Amino acid sequence: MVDRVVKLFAGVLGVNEESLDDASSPDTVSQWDSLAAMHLVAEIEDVFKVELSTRDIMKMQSIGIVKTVLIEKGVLNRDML
Amino acid sequence: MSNSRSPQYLKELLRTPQKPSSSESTDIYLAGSFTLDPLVPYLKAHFLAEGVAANIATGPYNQVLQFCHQPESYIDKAAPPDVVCLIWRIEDVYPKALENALVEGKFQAELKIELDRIVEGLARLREWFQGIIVVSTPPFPQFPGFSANEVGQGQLGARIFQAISEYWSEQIAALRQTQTFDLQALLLLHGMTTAHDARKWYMYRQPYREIFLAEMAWMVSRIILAQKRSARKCIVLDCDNTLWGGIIGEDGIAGIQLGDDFPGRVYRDFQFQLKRLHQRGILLSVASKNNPDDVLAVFNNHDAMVLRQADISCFEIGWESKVESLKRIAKTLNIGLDSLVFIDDNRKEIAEVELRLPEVVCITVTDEIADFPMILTGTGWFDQAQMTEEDRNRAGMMRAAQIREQESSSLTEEEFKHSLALRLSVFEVDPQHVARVTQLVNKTNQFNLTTIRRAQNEIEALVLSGQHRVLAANVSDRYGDYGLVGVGILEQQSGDIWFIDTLLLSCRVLGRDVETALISAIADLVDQEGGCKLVGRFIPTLKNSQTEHFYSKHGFQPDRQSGDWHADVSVVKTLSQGLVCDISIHARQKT
Repeated sequence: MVDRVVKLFAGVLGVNEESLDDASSPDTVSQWDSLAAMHLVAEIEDVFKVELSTRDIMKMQSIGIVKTVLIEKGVLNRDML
Repeated sequence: MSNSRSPQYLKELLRTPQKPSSSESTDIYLAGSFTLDPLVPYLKAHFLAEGVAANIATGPYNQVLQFCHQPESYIDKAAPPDVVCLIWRIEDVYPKALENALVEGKFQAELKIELDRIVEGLARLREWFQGIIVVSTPPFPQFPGFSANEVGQGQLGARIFQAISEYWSEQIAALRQTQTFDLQALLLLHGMTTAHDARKWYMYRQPYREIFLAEMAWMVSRIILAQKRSARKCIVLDCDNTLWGGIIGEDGIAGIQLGDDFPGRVYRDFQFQLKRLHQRGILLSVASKNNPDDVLAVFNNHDAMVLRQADISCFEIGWESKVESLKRIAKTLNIGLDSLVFIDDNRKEIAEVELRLPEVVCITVTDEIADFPMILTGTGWFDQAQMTEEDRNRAGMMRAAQIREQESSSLTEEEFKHSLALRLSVFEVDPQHVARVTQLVNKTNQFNLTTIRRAQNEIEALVLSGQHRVLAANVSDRYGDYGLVGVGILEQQSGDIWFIDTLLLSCRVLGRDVETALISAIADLVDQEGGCKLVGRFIPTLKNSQTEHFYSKHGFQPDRQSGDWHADVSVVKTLSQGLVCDISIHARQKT
């Protein structure tokens, strides 16, 4: 089962999927800078057909939190992970 | 917006491995007053769709002004890009002055001075950088006090913005050789609500939604490609249910739909669009399965027709297939099939043309007829880097050519030549001719010995170069003035040897000894420069086979080693003797 969120992050950040997990954050992935954050938001909104608020975006400081936000918004199913 | 311009499609295109369809590439430097990085993938994708590999670098955030005044700190003069593209907004560059404008209630001197600084910077950049410069117009500010939906503001923001826009367009018009990217017009087209993303603006200093960024990239790519590419020259139109509603052969002139009410208004507006393109120099032709008299009666007698018989360069009315009609039109007008755009409501006709004449661009009348009048806008097929006087006159000249052809059949060839009163004038080009010369260099396919394409700034550089002579030829006869239709670029190789880098003639003057007169006049000019030998080169392309034997027919001998052609100036110079053509030659006054 492919983790869609990790796959998306790996694609945007240009890193291996294996190098990412729920704990990955701007502090642990050097490619995750502010420009990448902007691309990530665009990509998440496109792939998950969702609009994120600035509050959501500010919260998203790790892949795990991104998943939680997407689950709360009802666009990601916990069982599918 | 068509699907092929959606952000999703463009990103997918970038992910799909491409086999390079052309070796063309272009280097672009983007500088913006906001974060431009998200524009890059869309721009790349649009170029990729056109077979061009774009290498794009982005400048640092909001340093447009510094960049213009000190480009050498940002780009390497030894390896400059082909294009510099500046996209800026007044609220990013001069927020304080803009705020003060609201307080003072007018477009004040302070803001004027600030705008002048950008224009001065652009002038400085233009001087320093030889490539293509694209600059955006300032868009309506995304700035407190400028919102469109505040009651009681007295349209203050709108009035200030209008003053800014007018001032800017006056200033930028004075700058030569700078392409405008009308960001404001694009914003108007899509609307601020669609374009702006306040979240991204506050968080990342990037004001626009993805969908608008993709559209910006589309416009910018079109502007840049128009600098290098030739545009389509002729629109071929079906009549029934295309130029008017209904079928003339069945409904009669009183029964077809054309006028002020629906659906007649739709066809009338479509004709207005065509008329506008015609005024810009695009040729119009008709390919219709009908009785010629029926169709011509509509053109001549229907009150609501916008297009008249005189607007149409070529009528092909009969019962032949559209494929044959298109071929005949291309032949009559002496242009390639790849210069044609074909519009018809019949899907079967369109399918046949697409299959058998893939070079022709085909457009089917839209199912939703209300969308039909605007079908040609934004397609990019008629984009031109710069309109020239010749473009505006072309349609009239084409008609003169047709009259001439009709008359020629009744005279002997010699009589005809005398009656023509052909005149050729060859001269060294001045700056005023450079736009037209560039256009010919980039779009002439058939009579073009080397087919070397060059941008306008490259031509300008050659004009100034002491080692080169850029020559142009005007042709006229008793039927009309064809304007500037020939170009020759010569390079002094060593001492008395001159190399013919470029030699081309617009096909509308071919076949009347103009070629011979031109090469002879060139030899004459080289003679005046003290040259003794001419070296010519033929580079074959898919379209210039008619020039393959040009040099051998004009006294040049092949050089086995290089494949080039050599001739004595004294021999070539005398070729004009015996031609029925009045030739005048003007070297530039030496200063």
